[in-house]
Amino acid sequence: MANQTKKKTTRRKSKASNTPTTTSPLKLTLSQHSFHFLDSLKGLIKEPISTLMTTLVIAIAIALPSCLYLLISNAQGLTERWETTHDINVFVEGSLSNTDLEALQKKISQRPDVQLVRTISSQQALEELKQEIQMQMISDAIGSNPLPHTLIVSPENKVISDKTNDSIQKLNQELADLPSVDSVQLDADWVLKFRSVVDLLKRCVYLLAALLSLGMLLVVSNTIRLHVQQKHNEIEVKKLVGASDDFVRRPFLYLGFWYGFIGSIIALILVSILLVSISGPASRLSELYLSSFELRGLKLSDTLFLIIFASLLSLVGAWIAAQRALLKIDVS
Amino acid sequence: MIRFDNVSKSYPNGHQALTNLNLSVPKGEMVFLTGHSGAGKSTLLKLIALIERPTRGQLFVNGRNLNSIDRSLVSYYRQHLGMVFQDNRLLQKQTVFDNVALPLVIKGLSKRDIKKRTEAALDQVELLNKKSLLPSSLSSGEQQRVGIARAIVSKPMLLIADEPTGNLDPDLSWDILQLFKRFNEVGVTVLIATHDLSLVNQMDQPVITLDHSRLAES
Repeated sequence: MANQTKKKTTRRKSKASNTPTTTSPLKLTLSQHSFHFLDSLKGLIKEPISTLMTTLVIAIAIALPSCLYLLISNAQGLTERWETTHDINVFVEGSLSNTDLEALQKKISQRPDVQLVRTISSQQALEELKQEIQMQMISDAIGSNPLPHTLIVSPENKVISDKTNDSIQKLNQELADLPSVDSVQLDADWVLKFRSVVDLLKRCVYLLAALLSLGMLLVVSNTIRLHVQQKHNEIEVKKLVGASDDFVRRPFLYLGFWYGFIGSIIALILVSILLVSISGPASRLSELYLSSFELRGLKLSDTLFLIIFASLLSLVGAWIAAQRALLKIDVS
Repeated sequence: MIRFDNVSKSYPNGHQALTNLNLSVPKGEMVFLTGHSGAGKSTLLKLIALIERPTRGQLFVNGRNLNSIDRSLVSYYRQHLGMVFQDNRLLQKQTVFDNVALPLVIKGLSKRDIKKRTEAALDQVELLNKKSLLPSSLSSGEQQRVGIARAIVSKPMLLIADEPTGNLDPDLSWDILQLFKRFNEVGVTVLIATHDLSLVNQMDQPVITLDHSRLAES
């Protein structure tokens, strides 16, 4: 025995080196892992009610932010469709002469963030207006043309695609600050505002997701702690017949993994049910407003991320609980 | 096999369990450890199993100084030690087979080896036909035999037992001791703590007697 014990000291890492039958350390680890992997799952199936309750709590913690995330990314999808025009209307002071107007147009169109500038003179504007409305009488009554010259500025694509809206706001502001410009009006102004609100909501969802993740960690941790307490006697016996801390801890880690894994699967099912149940009303709504709007579901990468994240997080929760509890049960 | 070198053990509450103990158990012997309750029998076994550590002195098992085995290696040390308890300490929710197989599962043997050796151990304690029952459906004598099967399944060189017959009537106790004797005959060193002197006398084996934490003069 002494020789074997000595061998163990020098070859601590190859834990299987002292087994009489020839089992390689890797095989040993694999066989023990697969044993605990399945054994912990069997344990969960044996107690369906408590398993279901815990996994449902986890599932809701995952499903809630996921649904909100979907809602917001769908809203974002909507804004992408709405933003057909980002043109800025620049209203020029009435006193400006035609030459000055041309110079201003030139000046603006030379900006790197501007693609195109069209001019609508006050005369053209009045003509257009006359065609649209029968306002001959009004215009006669006023006498002079009240409409200003207008420059319609189309920004470059890179300005439009800037999600933060900063570039277009900057362009907007700089145009307004030009001398001889009376006022500017952004066509897509309200879309940008909507986009900012969506952005804000998105941040709130991230925060909520972080809080719920912490909640999930605590739920798993507490559940595993109860499991360890329940198996106090079993753990003691295992330690007495030579189980290492790893061996004793492993079933609980796998238990944690299963909680997260099953919880995330249930969450995905919940999200799918929700999507299906609102897809009818959503498509009816979209028929009224837009011709082709499709409700976005979770992408494959999102789905995988959720499963892996939930499994790992509850593994961590289990580790914390098992570690704390096992330190208390010490037979040596 | 076992050597105590001036070993003392006192507990944090001040109780002096063993005082300057010197003794040795040669390899291949079957030795009884007796003494009144509280004399230190259990503490002595706990020191050998590394459940407790001596306060002073050296303790050798098979030539190895147990003080040099640090905490992380205790589990490997115990894998080479067979332990039998008075209350048998079986896992009540697992079958007889799974209980006996536990040390082999811990060692990470293959399924085939585990089955073969577990059944051999159960056969030796004559319980092979009850392998798929739960411990609670067995008699107390049978449960103790399951505990013994678990202790010998990984073929330890040293078997220690703390009052293994404590809960059994004389006939069953005799059977259990005969079982230990059989393992001893194939080379296992056996150390049994018991207060049942009449049983010890019938066995005609070496006896170590403790008296108030010291070795009694014989």
